[in-house]
Amino acid sequence: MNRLGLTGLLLAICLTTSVFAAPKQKPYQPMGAPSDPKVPAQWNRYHDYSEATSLLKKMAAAHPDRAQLASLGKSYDGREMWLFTVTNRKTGDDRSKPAFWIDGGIHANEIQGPQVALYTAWYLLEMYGRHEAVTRLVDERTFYLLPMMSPDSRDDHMHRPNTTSSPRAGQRPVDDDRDGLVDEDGHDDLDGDGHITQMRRRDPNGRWKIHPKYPNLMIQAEKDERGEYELLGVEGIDNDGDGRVNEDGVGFYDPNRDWPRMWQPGYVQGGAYRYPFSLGENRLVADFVLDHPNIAGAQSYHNSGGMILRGPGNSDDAYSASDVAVYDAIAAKGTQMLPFYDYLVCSTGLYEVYGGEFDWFFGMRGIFSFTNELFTRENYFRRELTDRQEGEQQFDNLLLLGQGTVPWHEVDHPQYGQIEVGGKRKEWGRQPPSFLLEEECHRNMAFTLYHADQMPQVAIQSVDVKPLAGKLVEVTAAVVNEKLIPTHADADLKNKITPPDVVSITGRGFKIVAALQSREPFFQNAEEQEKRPAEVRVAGIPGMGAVYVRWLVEGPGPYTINVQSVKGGSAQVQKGNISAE
Amino acid sequence: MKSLISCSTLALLLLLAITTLAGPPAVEGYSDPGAFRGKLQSLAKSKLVSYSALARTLGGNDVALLTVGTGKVDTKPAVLLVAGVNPTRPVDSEVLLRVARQLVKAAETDAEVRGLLDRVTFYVIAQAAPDAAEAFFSKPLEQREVNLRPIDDDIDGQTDEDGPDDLNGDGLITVMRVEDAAGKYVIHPGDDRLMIEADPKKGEHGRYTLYVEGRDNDGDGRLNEDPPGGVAFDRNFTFNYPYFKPGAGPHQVSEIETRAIADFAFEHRNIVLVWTLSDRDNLLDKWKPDTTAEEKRIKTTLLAADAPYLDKIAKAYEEIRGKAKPPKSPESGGSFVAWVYFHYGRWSVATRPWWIPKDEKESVEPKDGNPDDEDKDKKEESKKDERGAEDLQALAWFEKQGTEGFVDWQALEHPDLEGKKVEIGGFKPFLKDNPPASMLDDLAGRQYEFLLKLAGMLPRLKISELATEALGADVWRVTAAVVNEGVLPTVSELGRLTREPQLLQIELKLPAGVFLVTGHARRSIASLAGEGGRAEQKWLVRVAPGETPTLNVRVWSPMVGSVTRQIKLGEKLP
Repeated sequence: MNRLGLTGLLLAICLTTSVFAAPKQKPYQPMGAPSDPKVPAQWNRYHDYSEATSLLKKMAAAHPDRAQLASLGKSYDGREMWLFTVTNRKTGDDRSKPAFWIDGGIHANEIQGPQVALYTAWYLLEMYGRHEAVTRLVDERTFYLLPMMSPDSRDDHMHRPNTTSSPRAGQRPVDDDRDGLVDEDGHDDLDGDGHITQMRRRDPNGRWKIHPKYPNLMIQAEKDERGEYELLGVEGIDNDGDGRVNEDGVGFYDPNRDWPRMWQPGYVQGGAYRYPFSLGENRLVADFVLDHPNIAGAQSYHNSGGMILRGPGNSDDAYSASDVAVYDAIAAKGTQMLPFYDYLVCSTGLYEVYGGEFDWFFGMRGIFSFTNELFTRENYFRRELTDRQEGEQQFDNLLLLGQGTVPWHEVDHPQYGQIEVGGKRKEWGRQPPSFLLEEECHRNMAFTLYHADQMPQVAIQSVDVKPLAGKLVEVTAAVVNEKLIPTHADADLKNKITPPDVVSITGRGFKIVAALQSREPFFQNAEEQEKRPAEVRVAGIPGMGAVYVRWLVEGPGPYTINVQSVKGGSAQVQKGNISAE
Repeated sequence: MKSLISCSTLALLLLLAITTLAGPPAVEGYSDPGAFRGKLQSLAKSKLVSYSALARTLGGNDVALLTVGTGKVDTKPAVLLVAGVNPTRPVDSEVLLRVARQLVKAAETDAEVRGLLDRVTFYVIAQAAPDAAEAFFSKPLEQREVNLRPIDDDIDGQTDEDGPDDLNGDGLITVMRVEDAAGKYVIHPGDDRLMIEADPKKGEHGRYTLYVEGRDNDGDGRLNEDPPGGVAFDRNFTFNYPYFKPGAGPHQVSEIETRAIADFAFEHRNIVLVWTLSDRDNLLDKWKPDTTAEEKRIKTTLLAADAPYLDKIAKAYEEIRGKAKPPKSPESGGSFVAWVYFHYGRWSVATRPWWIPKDEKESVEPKDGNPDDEDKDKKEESKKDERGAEDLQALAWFEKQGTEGFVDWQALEHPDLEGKKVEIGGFKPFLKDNPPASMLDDLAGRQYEFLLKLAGMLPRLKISELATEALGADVWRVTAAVVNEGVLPTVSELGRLTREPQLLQIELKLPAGVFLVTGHARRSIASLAGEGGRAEQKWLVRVAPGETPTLNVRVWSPMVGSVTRQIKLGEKLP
């Protein structure tokens, strides 16, 4: 076939194609998540362990240059502790960049936490290359995500009878009532509907009655009024015949009272297990974090109540004013992004906690970290509720069409006889319903991405080379931190946690005479470093701050200036031979 | 900053270096960890003993456990004996090994001891931190108490790069004194070998700075600031944990050794008491209650309710050991001994088998101690200048023993301290804390004697009353009373508070055809005081018309033991 013929044929094919199949239209893209992701995912639902596992595997396979799935080890019941890493490896491996830690569901019943982590991983990967801000974050930062901190109990919550609040612990057996029998008396699903609701019994001497407007709701009788019912607690029987109901269920320990900073045993801090990191799942996390000193920010997702919490967890501990200022600046953005969320110090705003996760991240690793308590009832009608319980009933009636409640109905109880059970389904109360879940995920992610973007980033702003007398040359580098968070928190400097930032000079054709560093550009109160002058150790660069390093050298160069910060990344500038310039 | 790979390579090299540089012991006759393990294993040839490894350390040593007992050992009340928490004191491990040996030997011949083993199990961990214990055999010899975990002490990104160096080549790491007008130390007025801190109140000016013998290996201007290792076993526990302090480790119970022993303890609810041999003593240098401090939510002092019992144990020890005043226990937090009482919730008994005696009277020889003399001494001492007193005693004791325990100061040109007057000298490593091996048997003898006494003080249950009463219509009231005939209560007050130990259970076994009219067959009892603490339990039961079956009552908890008694309805028991 001659050339003309080939061209003609190709032309014909093109024409034919355009006639019979319209070119593929790009979908209309809303703001936010993309409509045509490589890995389709649905964000108005909850993923159990195996679904989350499969989603993580698909994301890792679809984005091999930017995602990596690894297991830190196994949970108590043998599930994988999935760690998902997001960063563009072409711009440097994960350890070479400031990294952000994200976890969810350390309290397994708080099931939307893992959803935010999954959504964040997916959003970062799917928006990469579509949007500059996300692309830059994935290029410059590393994200370590551990969506399911307590995977055994996540499946327990989803697939076994539970309340919205159970299980908070993992699955390790604990003899809560110390009678030598272990986990022998947990709750019981009396009606077999998969929900652990409330028990009530008709009793002329009871002090409770049915709400006149909301029949599912029980309220107390007036002081001078006879009641109709007594309440008997959550669904259960006295399985071990010791006169108590549900006193020794699965667990109990609190995985968020297992962290070393200010740790106290169970008699001081309810829920503490044997010693810090005596829970294997947490220990895997701790070992990973200790092995990745480039982690410079952290976020844990919990529920509920609408809070952005920071430490200290208890009043025996305190943060310095400058560290608090950093926290306040980040949280201020958070309260704007997360309507009805309050920014609180845990010990004064919520309750006293010894051995909480964020206290370890900050107090012992120098990592600014928040715990968000996801979902707030103000979201029901986008306003404050005058009566919490009635507001819930209204929301159930009007927006859930009554789906949130198991109506009271009769069951036989081996100890109490004929009783009734009813109340909230386990999927409702602390978790957003489908139509609010995606919003919760996106807003919390946006807050966390802001925090991640404010992790320290060192840069060399300028290098000035100034010949002095004879062969003597003055080389001055202005090294800056371009972000809000310092390379070293005060708590870090005080306890000597992270190695200092190092500003170094290398090259050929010169000899160092002296090395100086200064906090201001005029070197009025400069400090000399006598030993190892080629590597000037800087105690930390404040947020949006600078440090100036000056070398007096003998010889024309060339000089290479390098700054290396454990939590703030690195940068390098080369200056040529001055005689050649 | 070095990459992690090169850090771990360094760690590996370090491990190799330490294992290949083994020398003779600091004190002749002590066993190195390998030989020590062999001795423990050979004890396990007895049918009464089993050997197991709770963990394998970073350095490849076993955290070894000996279980001494008969039958189902883990179901009986148990005493856990621990030594080697301060690994600079192999004396404690050697003594505990001998105590165990004596116990096993006696049990094979002595019916009373054999009877004890039928009631009580002894768990023995004689060398809690075996890697760190290898320092006693290091070459050059260096008194080091940390394990092998690589730690970047000076946070310069390099790990374990600047430890001590044997500059004078005498095979020992001692001390450098450097003339320095800004120094803190002066020479002791009574003995020019000793250095003491200058006291500005006395108008003294410091003239020396002291360093561990060594160079600035990494050229950062500091000497020995990042030595090999590590974490100190006795600073790694949860009570009063010394955050960020040297040797404390990255967090509480972070080490293979500490974790193995803590896990073992938690998994063995039958442990009622832990006895630790170390440089801490809470019997001769007794823990004191403080009723004001006790009001606080976090308990940091011996509870007043527990004090009388610790006094009784202390009295028993004094009767054997003789009244004496041991050197002050270290004040550092994170200790094993404090953890046992305050967090693990068990009785914690701590003794120090040996220290350099203060004078003739208090020497190794027996049971001395006139309380009046002791008090007089105390008063006089408080007026005296105490600085260097223990060192003077050590020098005197070395002289008496004919031990060359001190390296005389000798000038040396120090490459990193040019132009300064540097001398190397001081006490030889380990000798102040570990006596000649010839004394070990005798020391162990007394500790063994105390062990038997201690074991006799454990709580012991008895169902003292068991009665039935016919109420008519085949309904009976069953009443049982249980008393504690042991010296110690069934649980310490702090143990009760920690909610760590299992509660005492009392249960009426209901045979077929017997029903509870009301109440519950099994109840918990919070605690029974020592020497006669009593609790009573009543049940109402209904039986088949006219029948009088036999009922069993059982009282038990893992750390106290189990007793059962039976009664036929209507029967009168004595």
